[in-house]
Amino acid sequence: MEEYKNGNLPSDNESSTEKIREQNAENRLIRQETAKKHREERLEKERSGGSKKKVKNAGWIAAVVTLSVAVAVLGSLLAYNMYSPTGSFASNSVTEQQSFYELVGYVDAMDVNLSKLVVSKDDEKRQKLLGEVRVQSSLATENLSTLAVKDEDKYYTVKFINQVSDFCKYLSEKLIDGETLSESDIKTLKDMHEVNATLKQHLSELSINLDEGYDFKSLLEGKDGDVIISKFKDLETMSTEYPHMIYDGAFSDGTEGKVAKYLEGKEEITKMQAEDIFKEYFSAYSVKNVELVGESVGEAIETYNLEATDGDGVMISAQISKKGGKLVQFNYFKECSDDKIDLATSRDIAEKFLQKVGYTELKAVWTTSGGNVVTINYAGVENGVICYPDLIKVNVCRERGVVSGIEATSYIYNHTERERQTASVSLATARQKVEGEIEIESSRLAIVPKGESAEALAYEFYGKSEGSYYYIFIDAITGKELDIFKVIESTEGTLLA
Amino acid sequence: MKRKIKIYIALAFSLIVVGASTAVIVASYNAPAVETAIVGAQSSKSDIKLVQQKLKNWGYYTGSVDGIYGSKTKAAVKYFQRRNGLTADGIVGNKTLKAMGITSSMLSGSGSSSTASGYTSSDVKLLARLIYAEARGEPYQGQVAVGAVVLNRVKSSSFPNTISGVIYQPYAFTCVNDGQINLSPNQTALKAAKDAMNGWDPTYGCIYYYNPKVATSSWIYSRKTVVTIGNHVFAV
Repeated sequence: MEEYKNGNLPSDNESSTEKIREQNAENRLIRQETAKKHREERLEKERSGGSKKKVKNAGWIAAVVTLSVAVAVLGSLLAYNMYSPTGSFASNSVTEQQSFYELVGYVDAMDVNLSKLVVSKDDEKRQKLLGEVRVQSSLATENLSTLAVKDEDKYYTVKFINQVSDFCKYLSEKLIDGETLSESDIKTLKDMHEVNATLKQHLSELSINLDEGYDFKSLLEGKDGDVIISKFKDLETMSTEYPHMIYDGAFSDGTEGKVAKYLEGKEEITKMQAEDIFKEYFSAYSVKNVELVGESVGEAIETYNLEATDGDGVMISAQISKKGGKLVQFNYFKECSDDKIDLATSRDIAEKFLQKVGYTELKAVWTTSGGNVVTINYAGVENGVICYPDLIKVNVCRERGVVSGIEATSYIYNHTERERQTASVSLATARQKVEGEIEIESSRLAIVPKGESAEALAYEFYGKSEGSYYYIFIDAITGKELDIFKVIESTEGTLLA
Repeated sequence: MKRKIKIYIALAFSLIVVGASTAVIVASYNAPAVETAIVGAQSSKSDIKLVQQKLKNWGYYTGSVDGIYGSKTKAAVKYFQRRNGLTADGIVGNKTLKAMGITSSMLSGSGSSSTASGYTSSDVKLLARLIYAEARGEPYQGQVAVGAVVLNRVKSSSFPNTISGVIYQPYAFTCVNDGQINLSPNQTALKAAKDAMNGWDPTYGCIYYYNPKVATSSWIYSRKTVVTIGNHVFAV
């Protein structure tokens, strides 16, 4: 990734860079040759003194020459943009200029709309303004990200603008649900407007500076003391004044401090125990050389990382939680070139393995359309209710009939003994709501994630509308439609969107 | 008059060709210019059998329906393509499948990518190219981890909100600058990309990685390390 790495890449790297260089040289050569040909054709034409036959051909020749020159120029322009020998980006000073001025424009527009939002008391008007700020802030982010400023120099600026967008989405959903904006919501909007106004001021100062003959090449070359880069560095130091934002959205500051509910209260295991657990879980893989290779210190999950090789020397990497010794995830990548084992058998194999590693009370809820490696999604089941947050994914190789991977982080974050909820909306009422939308084929109760941290009891309906399949979730307490997923068949498998 | 017409035709022709070549160049910039194979030598036996059966039924193929995409099958595909006005390249892509009346739901699919996060298959390919360019010498787990970092950035408020936005961000990945991002990924990188998209994240939310042997920025060392896999240190 960043410029701070590489050097560890395999040797064919150099040869491919070499190839690219050769390609560039080739393009130049073609260009030169075409130009030469063009000159020769012109001389030839002049010499011929305009004989009718020659002129006739000249039309074709001119066309062919124009076209080859055009192609060569276009090709070399693109090639230059893509692989500039100086190592600059797939971008040039014109697009940099455009990104910069568009960013300035969108931050200005956000300023106007945020100030209106603080003043407005009308929910419909607010809804409209929120929508506008969302669009403007996403465009601002887009332009800011294409600007050739290192990500550590614009980290908080990008974060701020993304948060504005996300917070507006949250408020707008609140209004759609018929709620009103709280005092603290308005306070946050005011704080955001203030920060945005400062950002706007700095950007407009910058653009005034740029009017005095600034060359955007300086930005592309990342020169020390470049005014744009310096300005963004300054803005980063101001970030301590940014409001701390807690709301129910993806970019809320409140989502920091996640816990792994499933591991809470579980005892810590030793390295030796982790090795024993590994050997036991993978006893059927004829493992050799089991080795503790390191540890992961995640925010909520800490693991021992182990590796071993199977009979053919292919690596198995597993992460076992320090608390409770649970298999959090593992990978075992081995060529899998046949699908002789059917899906039902694959499911049996997956379930046997899950049982072995101590994950029980699960139900297969979703399977990819197949392929040589099938991914089966299991969700927890509590009192007959499907718990989607407690998700475990299992890969099974259909050639050899072995589990080739497990991913249980969602389960580890979310699985806990839940308070038993009772639906206050009847199945019949919920059904009525969905009947006009899809031809229902099945329904059941489920716990689904709501927002970023909450869960809701819902009725799940599965059915068809105009040839496509959908999942619709109706909140079993409020009766509102919580979510809708479309099943998309693609060449890469089946997707939920 | 005749001459004029000829020149006009010549001009029109050159415009079309220029247009077409531009399209090809632009296409090769974004994606491979040729149609991508959906059913090929790497496909599952059942998919190849399906294609062979169709070709056999229509008399294009005389070999056995064995699920092996060999030279006989390829020749039959080319024959079929020629007869049906398609580019006879022996590659069974979308157009060829359509002409054969095979829909994607009839195929077993080349792999697995069930996700509730709405990533498209072109995202899988782009991510696979990044993984191949950045980490092909790394252990499989390390390749999945690089893919996970990209996806964690998409989810992070401090980075662009799309996979391509994250990958093509200036200074983010050296392979974008030196053109290695355009190399074709191998099966390992593709599988690693799919696993990352399916939620495998051995880094538990990391948004940075670097190779300590060659890292020059002191800033990167200020980030909290979560795990080291192969040559890479992963940090938040």
